[in-house]
Amino acid sequence: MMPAMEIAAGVGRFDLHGLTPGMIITGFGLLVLLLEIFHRGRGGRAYLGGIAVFGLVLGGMWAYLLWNQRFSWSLFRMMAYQDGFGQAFTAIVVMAAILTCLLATDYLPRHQSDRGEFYALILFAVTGMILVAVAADLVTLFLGIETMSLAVYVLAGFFRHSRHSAEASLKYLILGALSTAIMLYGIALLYGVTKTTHLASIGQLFQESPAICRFNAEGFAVGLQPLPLIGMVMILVSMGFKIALVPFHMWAPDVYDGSPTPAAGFMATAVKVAGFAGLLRLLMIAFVGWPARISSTGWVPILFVLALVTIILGNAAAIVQNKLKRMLAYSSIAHAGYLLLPLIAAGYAGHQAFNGAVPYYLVAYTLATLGAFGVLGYLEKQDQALTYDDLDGLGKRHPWVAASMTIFMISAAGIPPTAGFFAKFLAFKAVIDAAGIGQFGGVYLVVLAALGILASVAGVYYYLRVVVHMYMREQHQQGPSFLLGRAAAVAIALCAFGSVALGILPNRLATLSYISTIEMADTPEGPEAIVPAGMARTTGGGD
Amino acid sequence: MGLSGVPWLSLVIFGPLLGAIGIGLIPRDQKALLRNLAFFSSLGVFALSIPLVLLFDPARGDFQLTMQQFENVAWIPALGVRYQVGVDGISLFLIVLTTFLTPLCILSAYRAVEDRVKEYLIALLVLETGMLGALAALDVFLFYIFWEVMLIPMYLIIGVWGGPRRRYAAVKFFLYTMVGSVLMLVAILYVYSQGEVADFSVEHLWATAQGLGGRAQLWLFLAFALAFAIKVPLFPLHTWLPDAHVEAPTAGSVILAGVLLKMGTFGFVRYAMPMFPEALQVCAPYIALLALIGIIYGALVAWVQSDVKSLVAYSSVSHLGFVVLGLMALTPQGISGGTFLMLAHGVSTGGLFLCVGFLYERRHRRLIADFGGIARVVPVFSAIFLVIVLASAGLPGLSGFVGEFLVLIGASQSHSLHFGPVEYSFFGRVGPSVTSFLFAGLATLGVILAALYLLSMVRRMLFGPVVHEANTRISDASPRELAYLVPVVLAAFFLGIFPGFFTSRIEATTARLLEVIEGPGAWERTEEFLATVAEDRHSAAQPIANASDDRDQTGDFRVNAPGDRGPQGRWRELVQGNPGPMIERLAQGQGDQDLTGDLRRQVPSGVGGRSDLPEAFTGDRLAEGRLLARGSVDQARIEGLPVEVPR
Repeated sequence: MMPAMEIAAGVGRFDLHGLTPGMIITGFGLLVLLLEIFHRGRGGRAYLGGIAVFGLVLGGMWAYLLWNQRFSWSLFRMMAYQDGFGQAFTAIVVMAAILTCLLATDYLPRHQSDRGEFYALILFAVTGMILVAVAADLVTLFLGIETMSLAVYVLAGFFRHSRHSAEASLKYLILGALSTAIMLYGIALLYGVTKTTHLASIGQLFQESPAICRFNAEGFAVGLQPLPLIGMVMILVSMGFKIALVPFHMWAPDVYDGSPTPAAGFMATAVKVAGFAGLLRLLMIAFVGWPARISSTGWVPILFVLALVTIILGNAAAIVQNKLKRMLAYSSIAHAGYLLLPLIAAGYAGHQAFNGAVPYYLVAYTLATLGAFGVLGYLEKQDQALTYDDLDGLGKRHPWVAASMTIFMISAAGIPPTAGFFAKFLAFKAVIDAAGIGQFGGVYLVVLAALGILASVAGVYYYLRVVVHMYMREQHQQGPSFLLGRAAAVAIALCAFGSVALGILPNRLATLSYISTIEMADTPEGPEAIVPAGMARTTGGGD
Repeated sequence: MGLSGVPWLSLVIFGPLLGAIGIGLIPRDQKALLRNLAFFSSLGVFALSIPLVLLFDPARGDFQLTMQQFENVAWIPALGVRYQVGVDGISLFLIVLTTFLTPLCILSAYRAVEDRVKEYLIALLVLETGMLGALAALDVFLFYIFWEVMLIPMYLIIGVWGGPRRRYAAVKFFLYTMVGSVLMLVAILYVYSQGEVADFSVEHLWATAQGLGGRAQLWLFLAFALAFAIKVPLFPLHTWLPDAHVEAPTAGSVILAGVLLKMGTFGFVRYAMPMFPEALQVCAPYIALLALIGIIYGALVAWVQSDVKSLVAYSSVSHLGFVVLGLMALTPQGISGGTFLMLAHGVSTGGLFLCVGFLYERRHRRLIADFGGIARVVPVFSAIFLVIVLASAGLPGLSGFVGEFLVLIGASQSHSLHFGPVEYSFFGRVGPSVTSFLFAGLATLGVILAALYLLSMVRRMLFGPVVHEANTRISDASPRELAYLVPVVLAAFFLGIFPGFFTSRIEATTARLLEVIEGPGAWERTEEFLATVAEDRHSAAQPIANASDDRDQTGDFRVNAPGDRGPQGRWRELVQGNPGPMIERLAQGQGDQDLTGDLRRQVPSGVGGRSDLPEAFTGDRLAEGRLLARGSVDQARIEGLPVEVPR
């Protein structure tokens, strides 16, 4: 599908219309900041969290309404898209933000940091994430990532009194700035070759231009010229940093460990959602077109290796952790590896439909991870990292919290009947379906699936360790005891309920996430693309 | 009849779950109420499972008792996953076994578990739902869900209420099972992705998998077989079992031995074997060899155990080796016997664990040396214990005998248990190989060893002088304990005295499975084979001459038919990746090309099978062969052998 190249004059009504969710959320962020001014002294800011949640709900509903219009257009002269994909990822980010705000309203006062900026920063970060999700241009993408990152750097250092928190923030900032620089350099290189920053135009050139592709004697593209290859790799490296792929993951455990726990949960989930939205836009619209064989010089082999390394090292490193937040950090790294699987499948077999697993996985992952971070947040003593031993006897002390935590662990481990299982199922299904369709090297994909799924058994080990400590050990010393606030209880219950409900009735969400990836604008396939036989029925839900 | 208008299967599957929800609503300090509610709800589930047996049509070998309205509905239409349940002759009795054992388990735990009673009962009932669902599922996705759902409650039962090394045992159990089942998931996904339509139903996956090439089949079969072999457990993969059994509380051990292990053998029968017949032909002797090693190794290790519980655990390894050997024999007797032995083992080993739990409750000891001479102190219990031990050892008239006997017969007549081309046979040109007889003969050693270790255990525990002073004060079985021990004894007798009640319902399913595995006519071929045996013995010339002609013309009898490639040839094909017979037939324009049609018509033949022939001809000859065979079979038949042809 050709990009719509007509250029409208000025800013049109439709331009603003398509960005309404982001504007609503920004507005509420400013409102929260404004209200914060009227507060002196400590405490009493919980209602700001309520306002933030209200704004997020409003924005999320607007995103849903936009999606329901079922057609796509481009905004601000091809700078952003109004399409199903963007709105779906907006909805996921908003969901993560709502849960974070609910968790924070109880967490922050407990840690003497009850300040309204937290909610404002969350809302601004969400605005940035929405920009990433709707980006149609490398500039928009970059702006979105930076808006998001700046807010998240501050969130990481939100405990002003804590040296840990400051360290986390600084680490994140320095490494984040480095990755930003790498991305900018990559964008500059690409711009130098293609003379454009529009994703769709780059995509067109990637398919046809001899300045970008190397062609063999028969006229088939076999790889990339060095310059665009380096540019692309640099952008991928930067995105890999944002979503914490091995070997760009070093910051994640330290930062999660030092940040306020709800903020860490937000980083582990929402930032990753936005990162994958951006990655999908890049890979499906801009970097398409040459044969995506495992042996070629495209991004498929790069992601193949990254996914394998990420899954195996992420799981292996998580096994040896003693601190729970670090364990969750490494497990979230491993999850990023699983999330790459559908992308590899889509690149390999050339059907973006395979990406239908990504939004589903992100929802399941968000529910389980934020829920787990939420529970940890309430177990936490002042500025002291939780270890497995702090969970001893939790099953007796707080049966409902322990039961919810068990659900999160089971879901994260990918055991039915939870959303996490179905998410992993869809991801591996995408890989194996692609193996049957692609021309060459399908067996590599089957090996990837087998290795990945075996590594997930290692994951089962450390997730179950949590359950072991909660139920199978008696409490030795006086463990932390706590009173769960109402909002946090609601958030944890929502996560637990969602994890189970989506595992038992996954059909609706699976269909929606499939449609949302199909509806991504300006991809070579477009909504009417031929989809593989195995996937054809997913559109209508017919049988 | 009004009976058939009720979705019995769904009621049975989700009955325990309803019970668990009910228990969840009761305060945790009302322990008596909790226990009674759990017991009566599981008893109710058993009552609900009885109509299944009554409504089951023994003449049909396919899946039945599905209530189309409620039990064959779309669940995840996006993937073609359906909520589809039904039973065949094999799963029917395993379901009844599950519903039979669970109330006994709950009854046995009235005293044994005092800590977190509510959670314990919920775990047991959820586990029951998982097992029943896995047995009844006719959709592979649904099966996998239930298969995994079983894990969590069992893990908790071992890990929370188990013995001193419970955490180690629980995690080991979980990880072992997970490794196998995730690879099976990849294999399921692969087969599914090869299908023409999005459908996870069992029969569709059978047909799809059979259409795959030889090499793919081999890998996929290995993935499935690994999952099931871990669960069974087969010889080198059995190390989790003694740990899990020894550490688990009584009810956990009973369920584990009684039903959970059968999931492995059931998985072989329901999934691994019918899906990959080509690979099965290659792998069967090797798996049977592992089973044989398990039979003898398990028995020898059981012999030297000082702990009663681990003795019973290793005896499970040995007994389940028999089951697998029977299945791998690929004869009607073998598969029927294996299935029967699953039931018998469930009853007898479940009973043994209940007895061990009985003693443990009183003495908190499990070593054989801690007992001795208690027959004088607790005569009623000792009588029950003795009967159950004898049932486990395979005494005729009790449950164990029929199954083991059928398995040995099946193995000795097998065409699949040989490692090379069959040149040598006791019956000349036609017949099972020498190795089949070796398999059966060595397995018989397992029967003898079973008698040795079980009876020596009984002797050391029940008879002789009362060594320990504490043993003189043991109280005999209370009415509650009799209520859970006596049904086991009755079931052992029922299985031993009326095996026909079970085999008559299993046979048709066995026949159909063999048809799916080996192509149409497998049942008749075996019957002809029996006739051949009779001929060799009695020189009943005339009918057999016809049968021989038949064989020559049709290239029947896989093992030494002219066109047969032999196992080595098959190996070569698998390794070189030749297309499977289905592909060949499709390429030649033969056979039924409708992949989604009636399975019975389009099952690929076994190598050199009958389906190369025109339909009518095959049918006639088969009918003739059957009639001819009938008279001779009677002479060859050994009593209790199910050789009647279904239909």
